[in-house]
Amino acid sequence: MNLIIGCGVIMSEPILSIKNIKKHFLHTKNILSRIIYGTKWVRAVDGVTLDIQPREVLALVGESGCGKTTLAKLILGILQATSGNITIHGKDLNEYGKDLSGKCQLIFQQGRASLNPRKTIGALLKEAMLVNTITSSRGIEQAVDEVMEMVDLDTEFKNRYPHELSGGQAQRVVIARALSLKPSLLIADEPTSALDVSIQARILNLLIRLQKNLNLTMLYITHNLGSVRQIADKVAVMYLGKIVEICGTEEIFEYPMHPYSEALFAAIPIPDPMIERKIIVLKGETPSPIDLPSGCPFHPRCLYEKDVCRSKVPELTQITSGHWISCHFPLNWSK
Amino acid sequence: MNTTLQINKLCANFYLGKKIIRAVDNVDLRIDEGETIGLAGESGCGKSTLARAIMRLVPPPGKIDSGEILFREKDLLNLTENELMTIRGRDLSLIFQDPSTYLNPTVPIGRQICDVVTAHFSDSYKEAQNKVIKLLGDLGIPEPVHRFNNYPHEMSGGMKQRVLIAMAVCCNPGLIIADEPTTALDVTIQRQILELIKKNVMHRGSSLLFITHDLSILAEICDRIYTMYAGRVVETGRAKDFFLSPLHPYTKKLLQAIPRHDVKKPLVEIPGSPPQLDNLPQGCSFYPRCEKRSDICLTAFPEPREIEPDHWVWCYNV
Amino acid sequence: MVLKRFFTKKLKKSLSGFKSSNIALIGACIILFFAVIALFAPVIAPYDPYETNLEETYQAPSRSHLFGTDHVGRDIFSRVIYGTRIAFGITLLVVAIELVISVPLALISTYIGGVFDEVVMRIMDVIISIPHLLLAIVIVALMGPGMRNAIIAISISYMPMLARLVRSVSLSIKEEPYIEACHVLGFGSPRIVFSHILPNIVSVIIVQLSLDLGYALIDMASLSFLGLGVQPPRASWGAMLSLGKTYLLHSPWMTIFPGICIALLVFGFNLFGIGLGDILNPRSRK
Repeated sequence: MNLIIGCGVIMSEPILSIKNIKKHFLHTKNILSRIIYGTKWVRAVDGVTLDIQPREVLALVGESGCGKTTLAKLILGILQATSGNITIHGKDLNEYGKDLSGKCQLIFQQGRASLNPRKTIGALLKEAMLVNTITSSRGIEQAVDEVMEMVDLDTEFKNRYPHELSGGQAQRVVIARALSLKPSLLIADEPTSALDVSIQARILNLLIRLQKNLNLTMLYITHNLGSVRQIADKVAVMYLGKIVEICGTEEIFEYPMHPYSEALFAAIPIPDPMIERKIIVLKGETPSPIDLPSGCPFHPRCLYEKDVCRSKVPELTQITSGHWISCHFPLNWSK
Repeated sequence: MNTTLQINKLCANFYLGKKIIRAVDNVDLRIDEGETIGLAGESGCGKSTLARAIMRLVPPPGKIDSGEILFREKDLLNLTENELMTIRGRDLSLIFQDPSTYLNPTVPIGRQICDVVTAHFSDSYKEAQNKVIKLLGDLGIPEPVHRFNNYPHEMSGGMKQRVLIAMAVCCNPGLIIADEPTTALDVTIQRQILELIKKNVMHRGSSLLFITHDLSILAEICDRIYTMYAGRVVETGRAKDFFLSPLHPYTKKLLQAIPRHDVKKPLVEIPGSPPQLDNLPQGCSFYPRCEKRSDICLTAFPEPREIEPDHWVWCYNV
Repeated sequence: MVLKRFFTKKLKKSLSGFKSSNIALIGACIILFFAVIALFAPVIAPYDPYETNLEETYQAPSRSHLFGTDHVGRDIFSRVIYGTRIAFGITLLVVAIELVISVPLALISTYIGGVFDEVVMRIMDVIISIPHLLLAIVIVALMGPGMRNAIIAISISYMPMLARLVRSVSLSIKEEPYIEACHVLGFGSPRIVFSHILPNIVSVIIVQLSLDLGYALIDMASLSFLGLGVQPPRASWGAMLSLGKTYLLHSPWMTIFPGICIALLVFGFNLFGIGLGDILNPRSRK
């Protein structure tokens, strides 16, 4: 099996293209610990390759510590990669400089905490647009009104402060601010995890609607797997800094091929007491990204592990059209 | 069938200056022996305050104002602090949400669990230690003898939660209250802990009150379920009836709002915003967001009605 | 521009906040009282503070000399009143110098980090390790006594404390999500530091400065007491104390009244600073 990078038959150029990106943090920072423990690295992101096509929504799922937030920071240019490269619209990330904010924006997880508590909503929105020269100071009031309407926020909120808003309203401001810069790529990092269930649905529906109306390309990062099915076209599953499976949404939930994906989806509780559940309980816990297991990083917990899994690292390979997997013994192969 | 816990018309309020927040408002709840009861609701609905109220650990400025909490026929609200101390941890225990903040960081975990045993039984420390090591093994902690001496920071989230569970079950209590025990955990670890609870907690004969905002979990483990909204119970029923034919408009919407990964269906929103507890409307507190609302809803909070056996709802329009 | 608009808004908010803190109100009243005296000194003072009158030396407080006279017959009441001007002038200058130098330095240093930050902070550490009155004495001894040098000396000895305070607060703010958001939104460093980090630490700075007013007054009075600060015949309270100590036994009024004024004004500054801390911090901590 050979490594094929790129998305096969699709004609248009991907908006985002990540090739073998790695980010390693130095764990043993001072000389003394380096002498005692040797040089240890936290392999937060350990070789990720993926593409996002225009108007596509790619969901990046994984549990805590898998590296998805680090990956988001690499794409946004907040962190510098250790190796590998990222291109947006075919141009390397490093060549963008300040312009990157106009191309790639982020919806933060923390919602209200990502808004300066000392500024009014109106001031926050205006500043973002003025600094990025989206509009001149003459048209700014109208632009702010427009973007607030887009997210169903009453314009009277312009004079309120973040702490006067509810969680859902604050999150809508964050979305408005990100979208006001008209980015080519929108990264949503757990946009609903800090919200109540009844508000989550509202924010998700808003995102779905905006994505359709504005033809947005989105990278949707979450551990709320249920929401993925409603919003995403493709799903990428991440484990210990690596992508283990990429596949279309419908396909991956019906026929997950990687043992980790299978366990992950089976672990989600279903609000129906009559449904038959396949209970898969993984052994042990996620290892630390400092001491990665040899061979396949998932093998210590895998229910199907064999000898080769312990020694040989599986590559991310295209197994069928649009379905990539990094496993020596994919499940459900003969479907 | 014996009743382990019977709560009658419990009221607990928080007094903040001029504001009175009705955290728990006239709540009735029943848990029979060996049952697993689910208590569901969003943040601010009062479920955590209810859990603390049962243990009589509501922090000031909160206060239990009226009602009865009958634990095995004894009204907990009439007991002295000394009498409560013998019950807490032994007959009635609590598993908290965030294991990091509820474990003493300076004491090894084994010792912390032993302290619970020796506080309630006349075991020597060595006897308690043996019991605890066996319990740690039962709860899936590898190398329990070695782990006994670990400090909390040396353990992962899932392991720490098992320690909290150990502390809750070590005295074989009659009722265990679990307050969002899996919310802070990853999905696969949550699955491990849920299976653990099914095997090691539910089948020991104790009753379990499982509190969460994640209704999906309750579908797997509960016999009966209560939903709370703005401090009040709005619906209760057996698991099957509750999930397959919910009655209260809030419960219905809440179930529909849960995103499902097994079926593709649109997400249903609940209009309006969560209730402000110091400024509740007259009558039914769900009125501003309810699609079935009518004028009678504004008069007073509805009385409970039994629509089918053991399935009660607090609503005029069902 | 941004700063001006910002300060007027802050002023309005603060004024309304006074209702919530009695301490701040009392402190403000005391300060205001002395400020009015300082402002209208020529009008209030019955005599020229420098005018000597050798026939009326060592007079006890009386109707013609409310606070009595000193060893050369000068009216102490008038001298105390004019001393208010010096007290205010000095403390405000010290605090102003402190503010203008420490705050930008600390902000920039925190933001840049690296070697620059290390060097600046180590210099601050050295300064802070010397008890500041001692440091002020040394500086004045090197530069020569006088009001100007005393002001410089005290400012230098106060700078590290404010710098460290600003630094520790801005370090914690630097990690906040809304600062990270600024990076993502493409804001440049100057904008982030002055428009986003600074407003969030202003309350801390204001409280510290209010307290520093009190400390500066004491230090200045101490220097003047030692003869290193305000030089005679200028009427500073510290100098008056120094002068009066020789005559303490038979003319205690020469020291009592300036002493009371120092204590009262410092008390006022302290109350104001503490009360301000109460007002500004819990409210912003939502």
